[in-house]
Amino acid sequence: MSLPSDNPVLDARGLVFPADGSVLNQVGLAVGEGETVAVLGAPGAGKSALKACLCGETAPAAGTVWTNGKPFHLLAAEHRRAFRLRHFGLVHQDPVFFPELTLTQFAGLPLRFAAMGQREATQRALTWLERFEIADAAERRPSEVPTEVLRRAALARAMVNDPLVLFADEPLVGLSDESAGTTSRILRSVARSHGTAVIVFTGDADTAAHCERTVHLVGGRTHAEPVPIAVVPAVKPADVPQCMSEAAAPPPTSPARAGR
Amino acid sequence: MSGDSSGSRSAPGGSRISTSGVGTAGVGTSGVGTSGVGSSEAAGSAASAEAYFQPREPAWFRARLTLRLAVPLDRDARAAAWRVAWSAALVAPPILVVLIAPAARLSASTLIGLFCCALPGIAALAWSASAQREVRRRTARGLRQAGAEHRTAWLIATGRLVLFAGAGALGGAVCVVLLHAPIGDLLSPRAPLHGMFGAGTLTWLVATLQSAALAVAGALTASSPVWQRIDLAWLRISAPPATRPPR
Repeated sequence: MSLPSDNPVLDARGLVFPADGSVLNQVGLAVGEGETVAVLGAPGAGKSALKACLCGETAPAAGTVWTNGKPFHLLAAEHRRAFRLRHFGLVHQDPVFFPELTLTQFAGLPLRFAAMGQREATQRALTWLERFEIADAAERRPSEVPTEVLRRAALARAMVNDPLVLFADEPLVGLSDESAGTTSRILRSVARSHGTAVIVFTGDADTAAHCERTVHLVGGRTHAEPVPIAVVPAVKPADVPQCMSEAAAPPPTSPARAGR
Repeated sequence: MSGDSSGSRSAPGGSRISTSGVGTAGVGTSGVGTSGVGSSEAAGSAASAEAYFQPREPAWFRARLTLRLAVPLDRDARAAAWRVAWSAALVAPPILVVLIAPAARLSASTLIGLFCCALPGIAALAWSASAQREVRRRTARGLRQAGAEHRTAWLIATGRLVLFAGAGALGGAVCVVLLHAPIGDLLSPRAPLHGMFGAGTLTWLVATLQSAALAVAGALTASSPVWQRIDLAWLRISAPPATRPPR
């Protein structure tokens, strides 16, 4: 396990959410340029809340989030959205693919919503699909390609705006070991070459093993080393607010990736 | 830096945040709205900050995306959308008659009769449009995931319902417009349709559009989360105790 970067691209300190700290309690996380960090935690540990606070979907009750030395937490909600659109990449646990759009159109959507022209957006989307080695599926629709290609397309879409930080929520779920290995290798390589910090939120130790560093999130607190679950009070599902429920994962029956 | 976009707040800058990223707004490494500049420069910087923080996709892009997502490619989705169109076509004619008939001719019994005529269409529209609720919600979620604003995502996601319900209702209303004369010949002079012969072209046009708008509004209501509560409440009442959905 490597140490946190001295000059982090994203630096969160003392995050508390909600005000009583029942979901996140004094959580800190620093990620350097090109670094790949896994936030590993069981369902209810606060992964989704942490992701929402870090990427600005939710404002923490206390604490600070600095992006490239700038206080991101001070921006208004609408401005955080604009900033997120330009400088963050998000891979959702359950990305929605549109049957009517090809993978190129799907990957280029964030650029179009950020007011970029169609030609340039298409070109950049194609470039990123090539980097994720799915260029041959660029003009196909989601129903015509396997899950692995869809997962890579979701990653390509998240990377298409050349983000400072990529937030990936269970990006390898539903993939076989081989596919997961290939996809994570490409992601690490792309992150390193483009200087993008990657934060992978996962409940699966195998997925976390693909990252350079792992931070354990247990009971709303981060730990550098694994903590026995029994000594930490579990977070009640009722404490997780409604806005987080969309990204919340169902309780796993085994530590292995779902869908294997 | 504060949460306000105007004035002297400098935008997030730094070595990696530059115009080379997404968009064309003038936010460079020096940031936006730096202090110690003249009033015109400050105003320009404030405008740049506004443009930076509130990116607006072109309206024609929204329209194109709405149309692209509104026309289903999948066979099942297409069938579901056509069901909405047929339902709206059923519900539109009675509405059009109510709108265009002279108020003096619309007695209570006439209104009840027209309501009974509209009832199959209303039921079909409520059923077919509520089946589109999940599609609409999923589309909106997907667009938000891609970075669309909440309102934009909502509007684009309603495109399919508006298109098919609107087209169906317009089709139904146009049928009445075209066929009202031969139908009127079959009816007694006291029937409300007789009064429609005197209506001008503009009245017909406005009434046709109004009936289509009402059908679209009905479809949107039936596919809304509010209607879902009504659906669930109805299921709780009508279902046998063993199969009732939980509260």
